Amino acid sequence: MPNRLLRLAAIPVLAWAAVSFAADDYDDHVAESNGLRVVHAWARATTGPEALVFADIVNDSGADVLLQGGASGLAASVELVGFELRDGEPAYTPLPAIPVRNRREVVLAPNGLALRLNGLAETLVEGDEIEITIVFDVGPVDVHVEVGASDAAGHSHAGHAH
Amino acid sequence: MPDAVADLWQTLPVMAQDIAWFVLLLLPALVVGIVVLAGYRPFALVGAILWRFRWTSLLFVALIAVSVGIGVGLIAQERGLRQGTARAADKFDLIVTAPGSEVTMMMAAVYLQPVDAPLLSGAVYNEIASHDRVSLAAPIAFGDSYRAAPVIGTTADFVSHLSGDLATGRLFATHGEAVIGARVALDIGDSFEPAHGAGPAAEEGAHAGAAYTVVGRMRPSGSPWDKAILVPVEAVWAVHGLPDGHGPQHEGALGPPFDADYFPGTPAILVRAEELWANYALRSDFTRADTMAFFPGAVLARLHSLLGDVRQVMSVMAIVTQVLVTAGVLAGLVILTRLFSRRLALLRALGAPRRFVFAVVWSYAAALIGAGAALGIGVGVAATAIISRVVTARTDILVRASLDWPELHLVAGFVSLTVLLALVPAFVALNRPVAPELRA
Amino acid sequence: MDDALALTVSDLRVLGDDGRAILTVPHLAVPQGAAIGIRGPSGAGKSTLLFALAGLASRASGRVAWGTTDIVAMGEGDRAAFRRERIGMIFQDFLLFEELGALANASLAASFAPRRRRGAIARQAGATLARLGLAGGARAVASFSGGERQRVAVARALSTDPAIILADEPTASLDRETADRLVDDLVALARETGKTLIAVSHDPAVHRRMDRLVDVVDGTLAAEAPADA
Repeated sequence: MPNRLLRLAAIPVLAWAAVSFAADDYDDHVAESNGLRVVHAWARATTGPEALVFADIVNDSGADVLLQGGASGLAASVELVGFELRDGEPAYTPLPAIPVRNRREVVLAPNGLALRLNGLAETLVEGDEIEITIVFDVGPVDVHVEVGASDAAGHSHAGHAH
Repeated sequence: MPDAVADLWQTLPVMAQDIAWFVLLLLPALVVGIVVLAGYRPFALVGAILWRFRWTSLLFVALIAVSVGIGVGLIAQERGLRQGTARAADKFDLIVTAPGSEVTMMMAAVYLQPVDAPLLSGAVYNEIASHDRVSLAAPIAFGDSYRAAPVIGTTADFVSHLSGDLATGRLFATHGEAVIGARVALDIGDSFEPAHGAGPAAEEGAHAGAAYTVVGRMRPSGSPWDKAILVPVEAVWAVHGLPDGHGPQHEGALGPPFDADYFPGTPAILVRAEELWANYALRSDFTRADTMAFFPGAVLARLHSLLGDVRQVMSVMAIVTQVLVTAGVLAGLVILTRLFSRRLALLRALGAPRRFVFAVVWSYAAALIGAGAALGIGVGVAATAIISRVVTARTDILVRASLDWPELHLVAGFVSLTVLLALVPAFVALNRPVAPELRA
Repeated sequence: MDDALALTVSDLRVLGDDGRAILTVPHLAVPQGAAIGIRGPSGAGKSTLLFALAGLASRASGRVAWGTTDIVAMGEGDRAAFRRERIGMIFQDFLLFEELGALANASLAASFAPRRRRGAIARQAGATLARLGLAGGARAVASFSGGERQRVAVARALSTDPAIILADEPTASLDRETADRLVDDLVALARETGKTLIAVSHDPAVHRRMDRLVDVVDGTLAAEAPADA
């Protein structure tokens, strides 16, 4: 909790810092294509063959689009999944494409939507940065994904104004 | 090679993985047992020693059983609570409320804990109800009560959604009718007058003259809704002197569609889509300035992970307790072996190899540990059953006791570790001189 | 009768916990199949001698040879193996497992013997029990009389068909009549199968049935005496 308060307090400072220094860093935190912006993509360090990728997807393309899934050289497949409690146990179920309405945002986050990397070629290590492609009906967006701690709750820069 | 093993592991079904883990955890105990006992048959002697020191042995077994039971109970109880709360929320796919605390609104709308909540307007309700992916949009208007039972205003469709077919009777069809939960202390045909609010602050008589008659009873759901009384939302509005959701031209039937101009508001709306993915689309659509949409399942999962953290901390304490208790028992065993040291010396005099004497003492310790661990599983399950019953009685959330692999893994690991520790008293017993013990 | 397991003791010294010699045996020879009584005052070292002959003395020097096997020179595991195969021991207070029955006690050696010998041990134990007039029932020996218990102990000592029987005050816990009967049985069993019997005892009834007697006085084996002295 104190951590979160600190983060809140840090927002104005970091926002300024982001604007002044992070111009080259910006590319890694935001991917943009066809008016679709993918912000703060992140994943947790893993030990098994699966990983979940989370991000904020903002649709400024001027039309509704469909989020279909993804692809990555690191994984055998990338699919859109949604969280469910199954008999009290958390589980992620594959989903078909979901709409992202124009001028709206879809949040991929723990206990919600995510892109699941199946059949990872190697484990994800904290501090790594991996690349995946998020596929929409209007075309793909290449995204840098930051790998956080195995118990991370969000992107390390979540709260920044990008 | 490790990769190949890891790949193979991943291809195993969950059940096989659980069994494999269990065997793997128990393996050290089995290997030690096989190595120590190879070629010998000390069981009659071990039985004789167990019987000779039966009360002490029983005490040791009981100590181990209680400490193992605490560990087993913790794991089983946490899972029981998780599954119980999740089952109780099973019918609540997506809840839309005014912006606020998801946890508070979940407690109110799913678990019927009274709370004062701002209302959603008729316009919002209609927008949700007319959304092309929504198959059910039901107002959940809480606030009134009858004795301990919350009185919830909603629609007949919601009653059907909760209960499927009713256990007895029929759905409400007019303002004055009510359907009750499986464990409400009323019968079909009974009439009652609701109070405004809930708990000690409820105002009896505030709704004087507004009586409901029970016309149906739902099937049990294992949730607080078993203690709830469901009435037409129109009746709740009317009882409070508000418009009843339908314009003046409306005649007859209860339920949607409602006229936004005559819709007094509802604190929560249950939204159901036919498919999981559509729920996500709906949540995205109704997460905005004037509405908050959340999955009770996701909120629960967050609470469960807190519960899991607490359980982990307590599990560490439980494991420490188990190991300490066992260490104590084994220290007691060192003393106990002095009491039968003459018999052990006799075995040496008869030409028994050192390893045989070692095997006798170790087997005795292993028997205490094995019996304690097995009994501990029973103690844990029994404790969980009792606690679950209390929790169910207090919260109306059906919590069941069960035995599953994680507990068995814990016990297997415990047995392996302590059976290895039991080698120590066996060694100690060996290092006593033989001849002095044999003299009368 | 061959003398393969005749006993030859020379220059045996057994040290106590404080490092002083508690027993000295310059020389002792016992042919195989003989019955020897060891007598002497309490605390003179009779039992110490018996345990030294069994390879149970932890601090001993000199030579205790059964045939060509010097038990003093052996390691602990080999001594145990030698006892297992060659020696049967009987104690004053029986040292039975009270919770087990007569046959289970008498065939105790089967629980650590190699699988192939287990059957023979159990058969021999049962036969000896029968010979001594005890049924091999499951009744725990806790309820047995002293005479019955010592007979179970005798059956246990003979269950492995050892060439040597070492008995430490076998009659001291028994009444006169029982003691006489036990000694008769024990000596008869030993003589029938040519076993060497060495019995520490202060009981003249035991002494009378021995071939010869040796005296232990003040920790030293004194001159040998004829059996009826």
